[in-house]
Amino acid sequence: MTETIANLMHGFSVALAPHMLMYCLIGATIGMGIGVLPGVGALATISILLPFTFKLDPTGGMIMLAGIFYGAQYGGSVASILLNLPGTASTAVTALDGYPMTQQGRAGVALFVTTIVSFIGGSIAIVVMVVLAPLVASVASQFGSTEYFAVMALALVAAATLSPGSPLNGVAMVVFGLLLGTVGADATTGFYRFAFGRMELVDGLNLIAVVMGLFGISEILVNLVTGGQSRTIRARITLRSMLPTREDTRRIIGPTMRGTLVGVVTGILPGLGPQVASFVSYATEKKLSRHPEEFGHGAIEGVAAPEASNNASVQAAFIPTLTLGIPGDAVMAVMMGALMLHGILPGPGLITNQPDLFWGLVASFWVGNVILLALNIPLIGIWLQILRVPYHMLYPVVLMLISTGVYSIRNSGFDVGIALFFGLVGYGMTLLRLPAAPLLLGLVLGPLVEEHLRRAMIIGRGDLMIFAESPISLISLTGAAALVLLMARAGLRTRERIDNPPDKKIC
Amino acid sequence: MTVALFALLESFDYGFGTLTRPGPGFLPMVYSGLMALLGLAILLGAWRDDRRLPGTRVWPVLSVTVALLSWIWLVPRAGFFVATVTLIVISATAHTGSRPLPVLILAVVSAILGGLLFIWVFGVPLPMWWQFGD
Repeated sequence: MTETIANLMHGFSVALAPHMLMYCLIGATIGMGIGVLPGVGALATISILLPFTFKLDPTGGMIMLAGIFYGAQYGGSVASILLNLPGTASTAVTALDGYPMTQQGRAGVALFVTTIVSFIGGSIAIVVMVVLAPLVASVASQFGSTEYFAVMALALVAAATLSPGSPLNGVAMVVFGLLLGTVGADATTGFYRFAFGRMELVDGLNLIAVVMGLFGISEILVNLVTGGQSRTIRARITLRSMLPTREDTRRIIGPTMRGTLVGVVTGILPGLGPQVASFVSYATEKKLSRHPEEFGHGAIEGVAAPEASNNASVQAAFIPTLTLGIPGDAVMAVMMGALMLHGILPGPGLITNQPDLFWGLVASFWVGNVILLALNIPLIGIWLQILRVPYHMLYPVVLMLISTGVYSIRNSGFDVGIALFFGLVGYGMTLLRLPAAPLLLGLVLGPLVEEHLRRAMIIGRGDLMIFAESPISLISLTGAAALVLLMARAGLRTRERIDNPPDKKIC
Repeated sequence: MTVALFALLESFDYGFGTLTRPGPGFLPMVYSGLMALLGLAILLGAWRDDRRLPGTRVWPVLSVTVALLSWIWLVPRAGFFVATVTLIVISATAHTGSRPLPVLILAVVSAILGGLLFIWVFGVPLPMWWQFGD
């Protein structure tokens, strides 16, 4: 315990160094500024801003990225509360009750509650992370290829089947992602696969280019095609109007705590992320509430629970990402990709090998949360101004940021072409209601899955029973199989599928 | 319409399935097989699904595509400034709300600011202006 505290103190000494503090501040501010733009989700924001962190050292870069990430996350909530324009599936839940609150003239309260509750959820999850991450890492250091393969398989199956929307589509996209992950030189034999004679593809698809395409360019296309999102904001927000009443405060305490719990649990489990967390916690509150009819019409619990849960889950999701190298959702996959671009391979050794990075990052999470808390409340007026920027002035500039950003990663115009290609693919996928997040997860984990599977097969001399010998791999694989079966059963029973995400308005 | 698009996706999958190579192609083969199966399942689901695909307008997609392609082509030849102005002007035509003068101003201003940021601050090796002599 004392060791943990000492480590944490060390972390704070890293994160509170003036230049680190500055990176965090800049990241949070810019992330917020871009994330708040209508129709630009957290993931798009991160991918647009990612190249800016490359010139920094790994710790600084990650701290800045974490700041960007928080800012983007929060910015998305602001856009969904004020304009009903959520950028991601998890903020779509917030919009369910947040936007009605705006219509009732209680936007200030909604924003304030979001800020506070996110802070609380995030802080609790950070504590959990501090305690749990080293434990997970020490267990994980015993992992062999068999266990890795099994846990990754579980993560992929969970991501595919439990994400909102049709599970079948989810699975198809994970497999598509895995297939894309095989592009490039084969790690074991050096054989070129799917390179189509282009040297640029030998190293595999550039992750950032794919992300920018799937989440940046395709979002722009969707917005352009569906056309006019020029809604005016009537909300006028003064500091006074932001304070929740005593009644509000009483009503948010329970949801916040339960939301945090749901968030922490979903965050730690591989393959689940903030999306699932916000949906589950929203549904829980609706069930527990004494006045469920208020949900969807501006119930404050409906804002507090998903926001707390979402932030807690995001925080907790760093545990598997950093200690196992297995990201739980698309955002974590990008964060992990960014780490690898900085030359750091997340895994059980990360905490011991890179204590500055790990503990500095943990501390900066908290610092980032504090900065947001301090930044949001006074600056709400500015965010409102940004929301008023008309979309047609905005998207060409975003396109420029994307193209130049992708170019700058490897100074390659070819990568911009890749981004464009995946922009078109992503647009097509949105039309077909195919989720993009599982694809990304498959792409990131693909090479790892292949490597570990092959190694496990070599160790087991081709005998599949090797996966049944270790308890962890047995449990994981059984879990994965159970999920598939459950999904198949649910799919057969209810042919009527509920296609959740109305977050992209397709008319 | 739905079916046609799904079929397109399908044929794409099959294309990959048959292209796989032996040896290191073991997993790609498995993936492609799965993809084909899943594509088929989704296709079957789509038969029952009578929801229509949302109609799509071609111009926004096309103009963004052309804008980005021209940026890729122009950047090494005409420099960042010209390429970015072109990118913004072409892509701006996708939205009906854009008017010529503001778009031009936006293009020039963001090309200059973007250039300063990426080339000067981040040191991305791109020429700002067109280069004479080569």
